[in-house]
Amino acid sequence: MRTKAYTTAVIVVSPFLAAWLALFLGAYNLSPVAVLKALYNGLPILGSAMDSPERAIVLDIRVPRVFLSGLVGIALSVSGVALQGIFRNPLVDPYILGISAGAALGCALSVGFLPHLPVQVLAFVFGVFAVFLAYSMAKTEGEVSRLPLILSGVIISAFFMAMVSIVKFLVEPMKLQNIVFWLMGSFSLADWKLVGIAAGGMAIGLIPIVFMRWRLNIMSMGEEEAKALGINVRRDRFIFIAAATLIVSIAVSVSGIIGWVGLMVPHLLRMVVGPDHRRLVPLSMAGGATFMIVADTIARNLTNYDIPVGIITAIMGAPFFVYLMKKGGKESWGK
Amino acid sequence: MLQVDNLSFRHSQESQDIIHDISFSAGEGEITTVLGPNGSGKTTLFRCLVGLWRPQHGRMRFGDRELTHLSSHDRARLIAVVPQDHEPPFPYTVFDIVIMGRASHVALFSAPTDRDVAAARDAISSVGIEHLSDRPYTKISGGERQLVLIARALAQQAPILILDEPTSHLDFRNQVLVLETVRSIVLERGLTALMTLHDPNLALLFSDQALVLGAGQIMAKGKPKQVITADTLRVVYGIEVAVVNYNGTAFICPKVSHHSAGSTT
Repeated sequence: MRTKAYTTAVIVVSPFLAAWLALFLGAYNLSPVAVLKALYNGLPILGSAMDSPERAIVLDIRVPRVFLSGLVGIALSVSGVALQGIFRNPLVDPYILGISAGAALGCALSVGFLPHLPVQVLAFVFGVFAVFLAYSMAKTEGEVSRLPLILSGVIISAFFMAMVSIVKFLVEPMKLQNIVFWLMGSFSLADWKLVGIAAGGMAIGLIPIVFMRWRLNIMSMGEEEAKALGINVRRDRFIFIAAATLIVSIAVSVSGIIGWVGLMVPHLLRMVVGPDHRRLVPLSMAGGATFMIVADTIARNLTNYDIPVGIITAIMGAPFFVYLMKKGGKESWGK
Repeated sequence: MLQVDNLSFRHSQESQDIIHDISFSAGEGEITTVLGPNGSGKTTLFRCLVGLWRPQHGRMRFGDRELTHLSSHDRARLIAVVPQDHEPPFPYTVFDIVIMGRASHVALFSAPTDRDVAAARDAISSVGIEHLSDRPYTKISGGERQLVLIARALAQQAPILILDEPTSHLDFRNQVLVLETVRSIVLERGLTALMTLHDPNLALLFSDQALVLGAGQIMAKGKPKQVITADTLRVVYGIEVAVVNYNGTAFICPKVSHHSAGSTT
């Protein structure tokens, strides 16, 4: 029991630690003292309002970027947990219902044909639209079952990706480059406005998932069993899918498509703290934030360029996942 | 008293009833066992009773409560189901599984409270598996899992208990152990219990009433000893059996040809 409490404490503290350390690292070389000074000056009342380059770098670039990456990490891992629970499969990722393909098409259309509109708007709209299509397609006789839903997600993804390819084929090279870069996933556009949008929208989706999380345990036992236990499966599944769709669409619209997080973080935490969603959901929030902040800090600092963080998560994620699978044996596949 | 009247069910595309005109009643503190070969409609009857399929005709009542059109939430307050043992996708602990039985007592945006925890612990101790509480459900034996599922149904605190072939994956000892546990709990808590079984001998040993289903209809119902007879079994299963009486208990023994059985190698 004591080691469990210890592990939990470490996981809960980790995002704050990671965020704090991330502020001291960046392309522009600032001494730790300069960073602390800038942070202090950013405090209301105590700090001075004087503008300085250090202050701008820390308060307007690094801090919002750390916040945004943390929020996106939370969004991806929590929606991963929720969808894995309702689809009863630990290998489901948050993009399973076609959000990523929808958002990609929104982005491509936006960059290609509506240059004055912020990319986030269409990315969000099309992400939600894709899931809506998948959900409606899967509906037969008023019921939405697990397998038809996953299949519709695959179909919708394939269709939307084909549309993305058409747009890519038609636009000029400069725009093509923008689309490709956006699809790789990056926090390079982070500012306070995006942090505000992300935090507000995600809160709306996170609240039902956090409060209803115990029901994920029951829903993961299967549709019929959940019904027999007294769960309104149709309603609860809809709430979880709608909430997960909202937060992932916002995540994708502010940062592009970042893979592996929603799959890997919940999986890793399940191995450490067990599958009970009462613990797993909050700890996935902490773990997701930490993972994303660390990955983005690496992305910013590894080279002189700001590497798209989606590349980093995949490069870190894939081998790590293989290691976990080999180490855990058959167990880690969720059996 | 659970009262089932003229229950019939067919799938929407089909013209023939899978179960036809089923009527029976089941009393408190009693175990009613449903016997019948594969395809006799046992599973269909079970699914209608637990509310997964809606029968086209007939009604089910418990006391003065109509059961046919209840929401899953209200039904779970009256009927607790013990499903056949299966493996969940995640290795929940035994306690996590048992407390799921409280779902119909926990509000939409809440988690189980101390009262729910107490009910789960109480259910765990009534089937005698306290020592398994923190073990992963995926790492215990089939017999133990069946007891966990029974504990979960008890945590639900519903007056009707329905068990779907509770012995089907169990070895000889565990079959007896599980059914003995069920019988003592049903008596102690005054539950109205209904279960499907394959083995007529277990039905004879552990039930107060037996229903024999054949081709979707009730072929016989009543006291197990009067219902589970050589004649009924011949008609329903199409095999010859002998009924052996020993110390006042009846046993069913299939008559097998000696070419294929009894040879020692």
